[in-house]
Amino acid sequence: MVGWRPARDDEHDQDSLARFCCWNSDPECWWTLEVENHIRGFVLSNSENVVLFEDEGELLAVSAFGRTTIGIPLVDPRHQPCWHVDLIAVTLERQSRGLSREVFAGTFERMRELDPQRFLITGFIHEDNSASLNAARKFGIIPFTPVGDGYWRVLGEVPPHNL
Amino acid sequence: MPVTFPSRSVMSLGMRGVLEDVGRAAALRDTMLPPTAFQSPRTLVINLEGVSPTASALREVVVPLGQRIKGGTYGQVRLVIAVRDEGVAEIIDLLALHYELPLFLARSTASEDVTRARPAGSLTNTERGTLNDLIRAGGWSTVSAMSARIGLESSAATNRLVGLERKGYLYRMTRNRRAGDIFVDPRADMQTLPFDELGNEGLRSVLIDHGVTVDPYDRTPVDLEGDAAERAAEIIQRRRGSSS
Repeated sequence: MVGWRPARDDEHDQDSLARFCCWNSDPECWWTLEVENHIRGFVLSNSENVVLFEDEGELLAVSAFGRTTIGIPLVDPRHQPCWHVDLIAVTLERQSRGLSREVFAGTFERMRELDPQRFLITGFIHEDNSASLNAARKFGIIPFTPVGDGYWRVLGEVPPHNL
Repeated sequence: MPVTFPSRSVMSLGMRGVLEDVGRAAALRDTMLPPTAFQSPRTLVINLEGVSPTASALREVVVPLGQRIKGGTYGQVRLVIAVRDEGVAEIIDLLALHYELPLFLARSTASEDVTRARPAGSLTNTERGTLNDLIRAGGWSTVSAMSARIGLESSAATNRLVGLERKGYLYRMTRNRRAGDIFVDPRADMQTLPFDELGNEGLRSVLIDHGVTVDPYDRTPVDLEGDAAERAAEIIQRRRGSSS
């Protein structure tokens, strides 16, 4: 049974994250190596919210996100509250085994807990990262704007209740 | 607590062409950059390319931004304005001098042009020389490194760097007394900056190795346009409708 909880900046979670592995050693998939490095060394100090997905204490997936705003000048001069997803990663052993649904659902649940009025989501995905693009698309998170170096800004929403 | 390194964000007013309405200029400015603080040090590169502002509209964009930055409204933020038109650049230069606004003027938002940006505002020749030395040396320095590099007494090097930081032309990254604080020029190429010196060794290193300058963890507020704006507007209207 996979459960989720907010990460703590303590020795246990630091160790657990430092051993996290999601890169399959394929040099063509360097964006996954970047995510793995970030989770191992930086996510706790650089991301506002980190969620751990575990099964009997074993870390299976990580998501990280923080608050931001986006402007839609044609609609409203005020910026809208939004979540920026820093990363979502599933450990190598559990990739392609249907875990992404639980990871997205848990991440959305945590977002609703923190701020139910903040329902827009944005983030960046590399255009060659088809696994992440496909997973995001299943949850209505779609690439809209190229931001350079092959990365696209994606946009979606936190569903109002569990999937 | 690790030292957070400054990041760079390029922003634009979200319009092209003639900008003459002062009220619109103020609205575009505040939509681009609402007066709220960033959580981490940041160099804002404001892109005015393609915008032809009247003098009044330009003043309405530049002066409040510069004053807010000087007053710390945005947190630890430094300002670069990218403008190709020399006439517009000259007016910004004069505004910076008159209002004592700390900013840099670049020809474009390209990294090499930002690194070559010229400081504007109220600076002495010595201060300009110190900034030139710093950017030539890679964009960052400790007091002791600067003192050794140009043969200055340590106290004089401290005065120069601290003075420029207080005026809003440099960042000061605090470290323990033995290591010494690092002073960073906002124009510096981020890839040349000393991540290891600041305790963030390896941050985004894979991206940097692959020549990627986009920061996927960057949460700078942005304005959406086109399909993305339409999609966001649709979501907002639907969600607000369903909650009322």
